[in-house]
Amino acid sequence: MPLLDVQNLTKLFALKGGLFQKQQNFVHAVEDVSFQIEKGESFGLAGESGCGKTTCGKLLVRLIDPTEGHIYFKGEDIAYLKGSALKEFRKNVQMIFQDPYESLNPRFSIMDTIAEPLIIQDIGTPEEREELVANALKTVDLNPPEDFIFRFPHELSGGQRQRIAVARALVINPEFIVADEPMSMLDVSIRAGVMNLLLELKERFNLTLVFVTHDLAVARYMCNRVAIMYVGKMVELAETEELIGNPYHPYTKALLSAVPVPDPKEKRERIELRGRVPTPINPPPGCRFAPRCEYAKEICTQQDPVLTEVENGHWVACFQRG
Amino acid sequence: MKILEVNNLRMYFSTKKGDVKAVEGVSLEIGKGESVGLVGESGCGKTSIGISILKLLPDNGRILDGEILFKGEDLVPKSEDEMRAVRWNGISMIFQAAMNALNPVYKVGDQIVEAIMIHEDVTKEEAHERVARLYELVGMSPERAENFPHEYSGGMKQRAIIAMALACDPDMIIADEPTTALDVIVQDSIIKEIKKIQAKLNMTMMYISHDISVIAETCERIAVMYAGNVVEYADSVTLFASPLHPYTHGLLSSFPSIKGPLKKLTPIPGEPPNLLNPPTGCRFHTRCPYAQRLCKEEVPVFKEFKERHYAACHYAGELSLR
Repeated sequence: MPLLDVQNLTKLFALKGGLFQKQQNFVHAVEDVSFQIEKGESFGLAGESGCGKTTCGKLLVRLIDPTEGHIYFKGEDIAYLKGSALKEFRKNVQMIFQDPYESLNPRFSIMDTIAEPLIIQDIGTPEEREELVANALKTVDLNPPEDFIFRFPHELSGGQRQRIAVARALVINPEFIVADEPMSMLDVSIRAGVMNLLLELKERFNLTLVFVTHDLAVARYMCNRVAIMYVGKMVELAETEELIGNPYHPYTKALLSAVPVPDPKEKRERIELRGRVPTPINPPPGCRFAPRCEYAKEICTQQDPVLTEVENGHWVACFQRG
Repeated sequence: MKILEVNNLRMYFSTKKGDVKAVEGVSLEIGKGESVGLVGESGCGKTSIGISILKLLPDNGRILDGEILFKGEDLVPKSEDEMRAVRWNGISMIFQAAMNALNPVYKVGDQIVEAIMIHEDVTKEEAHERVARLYELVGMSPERAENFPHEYSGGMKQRAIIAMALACDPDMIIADEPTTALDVIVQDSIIKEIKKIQAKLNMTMMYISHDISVIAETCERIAVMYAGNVVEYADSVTLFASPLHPYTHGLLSSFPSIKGPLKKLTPIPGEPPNLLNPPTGCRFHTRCPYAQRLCKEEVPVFKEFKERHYAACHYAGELSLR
């Protein structure tokens, strides 16, 4: 049984209409997305801005409520949990946010910040909590913990702050962590350290990681499998090296061909796309990519392509695949 | 032929806590028609060099020492009036996030016309004609000049900004992170456009970015900056294949790539120093795995090791990097 089984997950955000607007408009942030994540896996959600990857990540930890669909965590549907049942589920999951300058409360000391999940979940006595916090700091290589525990976020650098955010996520021993672009605000020389730390912790604690990113080179380094999203839909899902080496979907191909390579001798072949990413407000039927796709046929504008397995473990949502 | 020569430039910002030593003894030369990348982490002084060249320093910034020779003439002693003749006509700059600085209540074309008319003695009709030609040059339909900024996508705004930088036919363009806020596919098309224009007009370009993969693709020569110093300067192929400075090597080893074999990233230990009080000697010695006593005591000289391959390291050429 997979740790996480997501079925037909949909999230629509209602737009406020004007006084005389009769029709209610919706942003189709995530639409009819299904996938499974195995325990111990590192799963990437990748795509351009506005594709729904962050919304999808937030749905998985139930920071927002889904409109439709199911999320089975160890066989139990957690998509519509409320109250104490939701709080109980949250013992197992944590989230790491993009910007460590904004995700830490400036008035909380590091001790307060990391102990907060323990207090909410009512774990341990104050003394035990202090020990748990110190251990969490050691885990993220902030040594010695005494040097950090009573300091405040403004005294720390970006890399240290992101390590605090990782420590806060780890302190209640979750099974499952969603990390939303945790590297993008960090400097290059610091970034590699945080990436290696996350990979190391994943092995050590047998964590399951969902990694939301726009950077496919980072996704390649961090993830076993990667899913590509486009305007709320999942268009392709495969093992990372397979996806990069053998993409099926025309959008995935174009996206991969646009990633710059840190090697001046490398001559990339670019696939140029016409038009631009459409708005996710009341999208027309059919494949969302059809208006920009050079292979599009009539069927592509009429029916939604379904994500289907074309090879062992390689899923594509395209009528013209191959 | 050298179009720009920076010799021993020192630029400090005065703050309440003391002087921030943003640029410390930087020397660079750029030939006509060359594209040079300035790469480094945030706060290393890349943008400070850009705004020093155009003397667009904020009130608390000052050039202490050094010369900036543009076509043989030193810009440092020039008055504000004399600089106005250099800006736009001689050197123009694409600022970071400039596309968000377009005035929302004026048509984009009119904003470019305004810039042309301030700097050159032309009629409004001639200026409008030039805008139409510039739009074609950057790959946009000239009718779009009649639109307001909110009617543009991010990529189009950036194209308009590039058109604006080209408006007075400058000899050189300084582009500060011109693609940083853009999605990867849009970024790719902008990079392609800039390269095309550069080749067509034989434009001299200085490209400022933290992203070495973007720099690798756009520039023939690369200058690597660390904590206010240029630590290495070479043609891009040589710099990637055989770096002389340990920081360059560290930067290259901490950057993931989507191509080639998956290799383990090695982060650079520690954090970039505070430039209020930078380390003595070589500013990188606190993080350098090869540092000796000499590195702490003496500032290394930036010198030519091989033809047009400069580095500032006491042990350059003696270390077995990579």
